[in-house]
Amino acid sequence: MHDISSSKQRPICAIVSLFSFLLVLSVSTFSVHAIESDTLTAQSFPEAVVADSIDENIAEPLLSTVTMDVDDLLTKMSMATNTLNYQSTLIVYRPGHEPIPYLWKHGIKDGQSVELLSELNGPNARIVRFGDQVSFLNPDMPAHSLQQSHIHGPFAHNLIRNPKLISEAYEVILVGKSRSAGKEAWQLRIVSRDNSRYHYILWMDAQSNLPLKLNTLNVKGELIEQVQATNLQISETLDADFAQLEKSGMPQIMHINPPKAFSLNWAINRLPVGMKKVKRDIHRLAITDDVVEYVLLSDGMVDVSVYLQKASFAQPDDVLFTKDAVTFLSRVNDPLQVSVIGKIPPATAQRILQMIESVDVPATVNP
Amino acid sequence: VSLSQSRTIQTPEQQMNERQAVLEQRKRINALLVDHQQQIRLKAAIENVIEPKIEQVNPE
Repeated sequence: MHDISSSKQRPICAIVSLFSFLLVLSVSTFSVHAIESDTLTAQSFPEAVVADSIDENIAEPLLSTVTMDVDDLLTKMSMATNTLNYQSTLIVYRPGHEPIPYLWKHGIKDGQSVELLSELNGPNARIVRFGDQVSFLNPDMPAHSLQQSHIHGPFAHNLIRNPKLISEAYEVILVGKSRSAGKEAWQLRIVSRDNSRYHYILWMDAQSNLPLKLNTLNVKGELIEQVQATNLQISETLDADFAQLEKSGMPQIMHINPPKAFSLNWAINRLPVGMKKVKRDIHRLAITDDVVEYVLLSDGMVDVSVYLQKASFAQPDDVLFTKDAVTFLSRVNDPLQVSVIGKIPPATAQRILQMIESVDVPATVNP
Repeated sequence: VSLSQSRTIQTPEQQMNERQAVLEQRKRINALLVDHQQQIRLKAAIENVIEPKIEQVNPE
């Protein structure tokens, strides 16, 4: 009896096994493709064809393909970030540190983009933006407003709003679809073209095109910072918080005089790919009142400060450390101290520091 | 067990000076880190970034 029953089940088992084999083979093929795409090499994939493995149609998930252009995706993200009414809870995590939660809201009020970023822990620090007016409402400091186009939030501004500005320094590669914050998401790699900057992985909601997650990886591929949306809500109407807040109720804009262009008698003769000098001046540090000669570099994703000041004491060895993904490097070359600070690998900070050299400039100061 | 000591013993005054030098160095490093953050914030205030035209387009 047992034998007869077994022999009857054999053809069914064979069919199930065959189907399983074909399924495993198909999945393996996709996995290999995914692993190959996952490498950090700066290959050119202007247009990626990826398997839509999270298709709602489960009957044939591996057969459907989606052709998606990276530039098209980034443009959609930029449009969505600037035009939708949404709110998102963001967690910023750095290994070894307590995660920092934020609430991020955006909407359109009277045809103007409005934005709110508030830290959910600690004092109720909030940053509110009405168009190009950004107000800082922090119980620990006097409320003030600046004329700014954006809030400096957890997601890199240019990546989500002006992705073209990072294209010289980074290549964006579409990896495929995955899942983040409970949503189907496009996964993109942002790879430094000359491997001298950190790499990033971005997840954007496949439906709304809003950013969901951003991992920052060091050159070894280790996570050094993560911005994760745990909740994303999109609505047709403006959030009630914005209805209560009025631009007229915000502090007056503090006008900042554009810095005078000084001729510094030093220059950085070679910069990493896509990195540009965006500012240079001479100013005083708020805490120590020291006068510093200053150059700000940017590649669109990260900003790097270079300081030159009079050394106050001997420092036989370089001071080098990384805190909150920010590298600090300082070298005293009597009588001067040179410091490089930014979200860049220590090796890149050292390279920038080594590229500093003195130049001959006229003694007069240019206005 | 050797009773010979190669390490020089610092006087309390020397120890205090060394401690003060370390504190001073930390203060200078902190001043630079704070200034760096401030410069990034101010950069947004002085640069003229042209934002995409705002149109309210919500998903269906």
